[in-house]
Amino acid sequence: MDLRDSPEEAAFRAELRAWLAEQVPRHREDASPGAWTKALHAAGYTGLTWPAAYGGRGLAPTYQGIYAEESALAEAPDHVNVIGLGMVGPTIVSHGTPEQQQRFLEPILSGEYVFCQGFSEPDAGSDLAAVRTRAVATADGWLVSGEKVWSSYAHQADWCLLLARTQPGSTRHAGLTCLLVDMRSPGVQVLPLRQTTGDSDFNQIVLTDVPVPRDCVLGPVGEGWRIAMTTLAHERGTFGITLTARLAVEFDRLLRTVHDLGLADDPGVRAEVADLHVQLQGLRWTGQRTMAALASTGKPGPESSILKLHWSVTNQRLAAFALRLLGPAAVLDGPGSRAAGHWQHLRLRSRANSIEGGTSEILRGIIAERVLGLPRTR
Amino acid sequence: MDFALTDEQRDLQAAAARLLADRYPADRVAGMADAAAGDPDAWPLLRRQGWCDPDLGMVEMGLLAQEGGYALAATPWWSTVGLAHPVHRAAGLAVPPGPLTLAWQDDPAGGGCRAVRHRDGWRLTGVRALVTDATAAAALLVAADTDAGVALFAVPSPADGLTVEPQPTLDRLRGAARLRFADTPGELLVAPDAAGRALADARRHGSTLLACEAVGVARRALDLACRHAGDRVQFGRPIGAYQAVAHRLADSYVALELATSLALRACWLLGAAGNAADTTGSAANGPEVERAYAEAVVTGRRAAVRACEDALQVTGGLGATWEYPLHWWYRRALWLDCFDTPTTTHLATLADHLLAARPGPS
Repeated sequence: MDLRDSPEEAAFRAELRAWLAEQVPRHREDASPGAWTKALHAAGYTGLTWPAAYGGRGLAPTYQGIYAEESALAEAPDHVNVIGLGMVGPTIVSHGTPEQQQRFLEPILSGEYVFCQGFSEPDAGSDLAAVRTRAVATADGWLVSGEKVWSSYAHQADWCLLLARTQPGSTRHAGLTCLLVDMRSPGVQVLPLRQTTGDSDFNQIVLTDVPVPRDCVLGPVGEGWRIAMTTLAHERGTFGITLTARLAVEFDRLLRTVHDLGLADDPGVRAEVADLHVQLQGLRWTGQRTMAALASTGKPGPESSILKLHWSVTNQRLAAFALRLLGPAAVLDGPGSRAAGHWQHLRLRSRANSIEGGTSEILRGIIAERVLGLPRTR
Repeated sequence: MDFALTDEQRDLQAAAARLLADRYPADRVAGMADAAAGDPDAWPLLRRQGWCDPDLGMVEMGLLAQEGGYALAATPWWSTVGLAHPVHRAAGLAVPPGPLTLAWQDDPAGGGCRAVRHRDGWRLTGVRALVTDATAAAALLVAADTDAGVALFAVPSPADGLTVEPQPTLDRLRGAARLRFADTPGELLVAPDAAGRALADARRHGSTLLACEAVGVARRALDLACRHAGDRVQFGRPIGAYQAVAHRLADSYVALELATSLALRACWLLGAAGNAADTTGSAANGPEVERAYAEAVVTGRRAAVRACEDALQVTGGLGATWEYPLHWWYRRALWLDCFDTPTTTHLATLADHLLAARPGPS
């Protein structure tokens, strides 16, 4: 056990931090999709944990953790290819054919191919096995029809990792297949979903007889559930560390707001600030324990299931507290309001934290069944 | 960065868990608590097992404290190793072989303790209260006021002019005693120039281990609740299959994991600070250690109380009886929740640090 960076990790962190300090302000203005991925790639910060044979650097997960933490702390641009690098790429490494690995991995690393994910549907949210999007076999592949929702970056994506039902009449986990769908295929329509904040971070994808060639099936036909679970397991890897570091950024912003409002001596404010800090520290160090388990066993330990759950609770608590600090001025919004409406926005946005990426109810169910060994709750 | 236990640390924890599970099954714990009696034979056993070795690391001690809380082992180990041994180390003395405790708190009913130098040594007069494991201790380390400030003394027990009065307590397995001194001879261990620091260090050392003990208490309560939730059938299903029960226990587990992380981290930092102080004469990360300790204590206390209260709810009518042993862990959780520095003071310490200056722009 050693809770300090090793000399190699410290050097990596220092170099990355310096690079981010220089590059992040430069890229904040440049919103073109893939620009940040390309900059990261040129500097050698993509595919840190990918095997060298696939163009990665073959580093331990600890380095991915440092990258996730420092990027979030530096408020680096949200990474348009985060799904490709973090989830789809590793799935292709595990389950792709040599031809698919040849075709997709290098463009994912370089930012040439931006990926989105097509899993959730209007009637398949928490219950993902209820997927209804169907793929009908043709002479040279599949024709896909259906509707996917809550797909991040779909409007900017070149490719989609899609979960579809390939076996007619099948139900639940059987008969599903993962497909690599070219987003420029005929029959693909992307529509933005507008959230309570007014922003559109997610999309709906409508597929109408979209042709998918046979060589774009990822993994065996009918094994889509297992492949999709691999993809989602990769999401859990270092995402908790990213979320915690983003929360740390919000916490610093909260401290500035407390000072700006002249509330730093208010006993109630001091108690809540200290308490939020304790929650943040719990998340941070539990994230490091998760990382250690990932490094030694190759998969996140049971601690990892709590990170997203407790992050959402804490982020919501912080957002609610920050907005209350503004007093009656909290009713104002827009650029002229306190902190340019940041806390108003976060208050609204944070309510989705306990929904996106696994609802808190689903996560508690996972903990109860898989960690605590309780009987199934449904 | 490697926040994982080593194989040796895992083995140590597993061996401790086995030893305590054999020696302190829940019915024996309940029996000892009913009689408000500790285990008089535990001390030689723990010494043989190496629980008092001076070269035991802080993380290792934290793991033993966790298992002590899990088993609710009624031994004077924590008072001795957690509170008293750091005083001996501060004094540059080898630790004596017997069980010890540290007495520094004033009597809530009023009264402190003074030491006066006589021709033949120091004499103590007055009261110390809320002293843990005092009846088991072969010697008492006592903080007493002198003309030059507080100093730390060793008083063998029994001794002329010393009365040890056990006080009825909520947690009968960690009793409290009032000590009355009447011109009682004491040996000066730490002089006033260093005693304030030594006492604060000892309390921090002890409380960091209590944060670990709290983790063990929480884990045991959660285990009891999960076992019951799997066994108890109502409306034709085990109650753990109902989300209202399962989700409550999942949230208890979250609190436990956060507390585990922060308790282990506090131990590691305290151990690293001690090693740095041994080699360089000063701990470079003092403020970080201080905050980590506060964070660990706050989360540990909450996890323990919460896990016990969640378990009391889930175990229903059974958990509400005297015979079901859960309330002994709850009583320990309540003791942990209020022993020494209050949670509000720990949070105030953290707020002082966090709000000392406005952070710069991001």
